[in-house]
Amino acid sequence: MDMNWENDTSGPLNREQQIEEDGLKALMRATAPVEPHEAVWSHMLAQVEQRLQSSRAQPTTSRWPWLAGGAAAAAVLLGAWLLQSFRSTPVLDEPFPVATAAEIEILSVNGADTHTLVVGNPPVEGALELLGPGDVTLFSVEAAPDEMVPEIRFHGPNSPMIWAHLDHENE
Amino acid sequence: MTSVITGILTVVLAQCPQPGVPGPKADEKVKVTVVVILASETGNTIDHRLQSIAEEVRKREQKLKSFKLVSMQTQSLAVDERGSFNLVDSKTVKVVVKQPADPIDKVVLAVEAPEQGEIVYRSKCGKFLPIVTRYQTADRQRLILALRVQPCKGN
Repeated sequence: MDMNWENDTSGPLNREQQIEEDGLKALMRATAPVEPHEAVWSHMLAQVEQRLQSSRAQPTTSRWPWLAGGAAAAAVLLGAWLLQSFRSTPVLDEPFPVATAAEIEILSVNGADTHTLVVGNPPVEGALELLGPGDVTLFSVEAAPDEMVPEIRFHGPNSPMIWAHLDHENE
Repeated sequence: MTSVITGILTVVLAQCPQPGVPGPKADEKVKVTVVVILASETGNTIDHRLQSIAEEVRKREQKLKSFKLVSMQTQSLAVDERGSFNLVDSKTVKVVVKQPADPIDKVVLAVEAPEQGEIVYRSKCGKFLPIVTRYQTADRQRLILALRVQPCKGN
């Protein structure tokens, strides 16, 4: 096939140049690569199209890990800043106020724990002081469901006392 | 007949508030203190705060040798207000103030201790009245209560 160099202004080739050109043409034809089969072209085209479609469907997939990492880093920085703020909070210089004994009323305490009270007075301090003769007057007494009536010892020289009998006790 | 009428009038007039004598105020509260004690026939340990009670109780029952102060509680109760005090083994004692302190510092209480009926009595304030109940714990310790009322107007 003759090559027509439309922009070649050197004029027509002489016989030797023509022979050399023809040889080059033949050589190019002989060494030309084998064209792929049409099925190969079709398969490659299908793959290209498939990848193009998948990239269009998830255009931001690659950005999510970056966003999550950035949020985590921001949270860490914020937490560190807050922790530093709390640590740097000045400690109260004034002592904690403590209630006085007059401000505390102990309503109930176990007998073994009265010595642990730092502030406040227990309901009873020191030895129990008993009523004396004549300090108590009986108004009424009801029997228990089993008809037991306690002994009312309000008279006499001893301290007043109420005594409920056990089954085996004698009056 | 005249004496009967006189007696009836005396009783009726005694119930009426007398001029110059202040009656109890409805909103007046009485502080009731309950001390819970366990006494046993074993050992020989008496809490130093219970010496007086132990001495009086042992006059009646010498078998009780050890006295332990379990707890002490106090409640301020209005007239007719029912107070419940925890004892041992889920037992309670119920106290009702029937009348606050009168001019001679005496208070009327209604007490219902475990396993016995209600007892109503008038007591001087500031000191304790022992109540030896017939309740015994699993290890045969006798439950004893000590009740006191306050305040005392005379002090």
